[in-house]
Parts: sequence; C-alpha cells; structure tokens
Amino acid sequence: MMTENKSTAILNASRSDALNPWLKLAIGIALVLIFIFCVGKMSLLIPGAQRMAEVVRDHDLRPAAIFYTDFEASADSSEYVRHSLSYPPKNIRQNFQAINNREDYR
Amino acid sequence: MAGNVTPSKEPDYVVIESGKTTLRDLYTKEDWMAIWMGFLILVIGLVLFLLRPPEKMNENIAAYNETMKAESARAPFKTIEWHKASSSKKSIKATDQDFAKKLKNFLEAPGDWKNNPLDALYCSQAAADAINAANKDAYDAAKAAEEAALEKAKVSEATAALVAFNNATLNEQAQKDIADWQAAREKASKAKKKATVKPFNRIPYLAGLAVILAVFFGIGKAVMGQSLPKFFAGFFFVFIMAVFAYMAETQALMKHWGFGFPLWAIVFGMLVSNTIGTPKWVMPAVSTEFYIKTGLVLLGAEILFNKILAIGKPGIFVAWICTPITLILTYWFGQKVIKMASKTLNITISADMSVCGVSAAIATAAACRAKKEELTLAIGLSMIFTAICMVAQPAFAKLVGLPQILAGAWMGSTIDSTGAVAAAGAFYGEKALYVAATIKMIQNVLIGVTAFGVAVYWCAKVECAPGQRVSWWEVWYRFPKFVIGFIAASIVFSLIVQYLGDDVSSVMIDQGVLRGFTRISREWFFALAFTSIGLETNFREFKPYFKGGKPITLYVFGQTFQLCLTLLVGYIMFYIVFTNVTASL
Repeated sequence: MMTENKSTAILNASRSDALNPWLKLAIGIALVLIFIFCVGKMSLLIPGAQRMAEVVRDHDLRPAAIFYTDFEASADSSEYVRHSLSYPPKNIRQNFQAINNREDYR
Repeated sequence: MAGNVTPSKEPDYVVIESGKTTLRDLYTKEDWMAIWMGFLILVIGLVLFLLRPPEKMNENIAAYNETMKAESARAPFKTIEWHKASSSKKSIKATDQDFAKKLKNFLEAPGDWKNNPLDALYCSQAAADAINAANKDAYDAAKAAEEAALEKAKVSEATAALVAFNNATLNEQAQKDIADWQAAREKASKAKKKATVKPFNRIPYLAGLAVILAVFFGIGKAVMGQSLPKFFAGFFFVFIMAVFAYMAETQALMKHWGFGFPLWAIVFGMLVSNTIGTPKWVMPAVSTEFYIKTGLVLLGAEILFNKILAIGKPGIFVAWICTPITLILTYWFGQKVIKMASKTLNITISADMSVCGVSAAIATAAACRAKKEELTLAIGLSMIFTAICMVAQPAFAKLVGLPQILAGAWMGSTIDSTGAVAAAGAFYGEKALYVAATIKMIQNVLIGVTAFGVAVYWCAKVECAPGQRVSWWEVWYRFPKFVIGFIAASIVFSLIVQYLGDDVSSVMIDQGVLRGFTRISREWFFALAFTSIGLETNFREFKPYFKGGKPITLYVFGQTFQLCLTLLVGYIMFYIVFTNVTASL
C-alpha cells in the first residue's frame, strides 16, 4: 500500500511536470494574443498613432521592411527623385525665388 | 521534457570561428556552402529575368525619356505630361510579366489580416466579391475626383502656357493644381487596389515552398556531411513557425507599428524552447548560421553601389558622412565611457542604430561573430525605438515647421527601420516620403562597407591579445568567409547595373531579379534564421546584458547624437550648399 501511494505520488508529480511546460506555453500564447489584439488596439489611443495607421494603409507601406527592396514605395520614391534630377524643369536657378516660396521647400 | 531540448546556458555564436582554410572547407564549411547556395539562387534569378525583358522595353523607355526631356525644357515646373511619362516609365517592370507573377505568387509570404488569421492564407471568391463590392463606391468616387482634378490642372497649365510660363502667379497655380491631381491620382490608384481583390489560397503554395526549401537546404547539409532525412523532418516545424512569424507581422495593428517577422520569429521560437523545449527531432533543422549566411549573400546582391548618387551629393553627405561618424562615436562611447562588457554587442547596437536597423544588425553581428542573444537584443531595441521615432519624429518636424525635404532627409537618415522611414515620411508629406525613402536606400548600401570593415577590424585588432600584431594571412584565416560572398554579390550586381544603365537595370534588376525573386527568398531565409535563434535561446541568457541598462544608454546616446548631426548636415547640404538639387525635387 505504502509503495503504491509512493508510486502514485511520483506519477502525479511527473504528470504535473509534464503539464507545466504546456501550461507555460498556453500562457505565453495568450500573452502574445493579448499584446496583438488588446495592447495593439490600445496603442491607437497614442496621439498620432491613428493617423499613422491610416498613412500606412493608404500608401500600402510596410513599416517592418528591413531593406529598401522589401516594399514598393522605396522604388517609386527613388525613381521619382531620379527623374526629377535627370529632367529638372528649365531655369531652376532663375526661378529660385519662386521655388523658395513653394510650400514643400519652405 | 523527455525528448525535448532546453536551450543551453553556454554562449552560442551567430558565426563560429572557422579556423584555417583548406580546400575541403569549400564544401564542408557553412560559410562556403552559403556562398555557393546564395550564388546559385542569384544565377537562377539572372537567367530567369535577363532572358525575358518586357515587350518593347527599350522603345518605351526612350519615348518616356524624350517626353520628360521635352516637357522639362518647356516649363519651369513639372507638367502633366512630365508626370504621366514619369509614372508610365516607373510602371515598366519585369515582375509584371506572367512568369514573374506566378513565381512571386509561389514564393510570397502570408498576406494582411485583421481579426481572423486565416484571412492571411485564404480568400474565397465570395469573400473577394464582397470586399470589391464594399469598396466599389469609394473607387468610383476617387476615379471621378481624379478626372476632375486632371481637368482643372489641364486648364491651369494651358493658362500658364498662354503667357509662355512667364507669369509667376499662373505658374504657381498650375503647380498647385498639378500637385492636387497627383494626390487624387494616388488615391484613385489605392482605391482601385482595394476594389479589385482576387481570391487566393496560399496554403498549397506554402506547402510546396516548404518542400523546395527543405530540399534546397537539405542538399547543402548533406554535402557538408549531415543527415538529409533528419534535417528534412525538423525543417517543417521551423518553417511553420516562420509562417506564424510572418502572420504576426501582417496583422493590421502590428503592421502599423513595424513589429516585423524577425522579432516574432524569435518570440515564437523562445516560447517553444523555454516552455515545452525544442523537440530533439527539430534540432537538425535549427540552423541559424546556415540560413543567415545564405540570406546575407542574397542581401549582398541588393547592395548596389550605383544607388549612392540617387539624390546627388547632398545625399552622400547626409547618409555616408553622418552615419559612419555616428557609428564610430557610438562604439567609442560604449567602450570608453559606459564601458560595455561586450564589444560585439556594442558594435551590433551601434551599427543597428546608426545604419539601418535589423538588416545592419544581422550583417554586423555575423561579421563580428556576435552571440545570438546580442543580435536578438539589438533587434528588440531597434524595433521599440523605431516604433517611437516613427511617430515622434514627424510630430516634432511638424511642431518646428521643418520643410518637407529637410524633414525627409532627417527622418531617412535617423529612423532605423527602412520601412518605418517611409511611413514617417508619408506621414509628413509626399516629398518627405520621396526624400526619406531615397536617403534610406543610400544608407542601406553602407551595410556592405560596415560588415566588411567590422569583419576586418575584428580579425586584425579586436580578436588579438594586447600588443599582438597579426599577419594578413592570419586575418584571412580568421575572416568570416561568407562575407566574401556577400561583398562579391554586391560587386557583381553593381557591375551588372552599371553595364545595363539606370533605366534598364531599374526594370530588369531592381524590379526583376531582386524584387521578383532573390529578395523574397532572402526574407524566408532570415525568417528561418530568426526562428532558429528563438528555438535555441534561453530567457536567462539575456539577464547579464540588462545590468545597468547599458544597451539602452548606448542606443539613446547614439540616436540623440545622430538626430542632431543629421539635422544640421541636412540643412547645410539641402538648403545652403546644393540648393539646385532641392529645387529640382
């Protein structure tokens, strides 16, 4: 009887050891989901965050991109800059005053 | 757990010392195998794309160039026809051909989703129809607005042309109306995308891709003398984890903050390894170094030295002068002032913060043999600060009223992540986006120089005993050989771009080989690498690094210095020295 109790206790202990890691994993997954859905949603309350979300959506950007080849906006931008420098409007220097008043230049 | 592996407490390195080189190393060492495998993919990409240019590519490019040339000589601003020619030229892409679309479809990672993760993998015909119907009205309205804006711009331009573009007020009005039309056109284009969604099922493609990648890396492992079946069995577990990491990135809320797959791959991997333990049968496929080195060889092909002049001389000053100064000063600060215990962590954070975030961290960590937890720490820091700077910097620029071009140059050079730079730029305005993304692209090229410089410096100086002088042969023996593949890929592709010229290379290399094939492969390799890092990392290994908060102090110091220096240099270059460049944009 004594031996039987001891072996049951060992079995229970090993079961709890076996359960623990899976429980930890479940808690970890739950924390990730809470971060994505709850903290993520709450983060939109930060001033400017909502607008940033709209900009990312409207321009189809990928803020997580790690290199310039990872998203299209970089190609569009660099090509626009290249065309602007290769074929600049005439008399840039003469029109400098007018350009100086341009909203995006000021 | 029985049969599972908990992460070892022993330090593990992103790149392990390979010792003296022998001919046998060429097919038994991961460094060399990564080079051969990387180059195999690059050659396949070149053959696939260079032999199939888009129809009438040269004729169309010449025609659009002619139009832009004529229009730029006609008016003192960019006319409607100039913009149309520029857009049409940009739309010539090798990736728009049928074979390239099929290839991209096969390789592509899971898409965007908001509430249901399955949306990233599957969209039925009925669901696509519902999305399209819901967005149709918005598209029709955007299209009508674009047409109205075009008519208004045409009238303004014609009025300005009547007086031979000599009236400043009329010119200004025409410019404004053309800018409004451009904005309306952009909106209509985005609305069209939302109203023309096609059904998709990514699951079979992902299954096929998993098999191909397993065979590809498995053969490499087998050649190096490791077991192909064992690798094959474990690979699918690592691949599925990488898919989950991609899906976490593409979730709408996470996407906005720039929490990318590298971070999620590490988090998910660590969740497994620190709870149930990484299963033993998975371990043969947990191969951080192999994936990362092969990915870095592919990344080398994207480092095109011809891009340095993309925005003229001011871009070089902002991206190529400020950045190395910040990198060196931050490293010096880490060693001499706050006395960082680990030089490899110091240089990885310094490069990550000053150059371009995650990609620079990967290349530098590999070049100096940083530990995997050091790379993880650098990436975590970078992503958190990127999320903050992405919103704070445009807000500050707005507060002090920075001009768009200066704000773009400032954000482009100082925000870590390349994608976040574009988001911050777009937040501020179209011109800021163009400048920010272009400056970041120039800065991206610095990765090659940084990785090579760090690898040589580490072999020749850091890894020596005090006072020891090593011969160049010794430096060669110690040198991480995959860096040769990384640099060689960069040089070969830069030469190809030089030979093809800017216009053709933009279509065939940038919008062909790179964006259509090697870039997507490289991302998968990095996703596998970061998953592997997570699967073999113990939470406890991070503890010593947080003592005294030195990594954060280092990051904050470097970032503050870079913010001030870049703002000053950007102003001097774009608004005092090279004003003609600014005026042309």
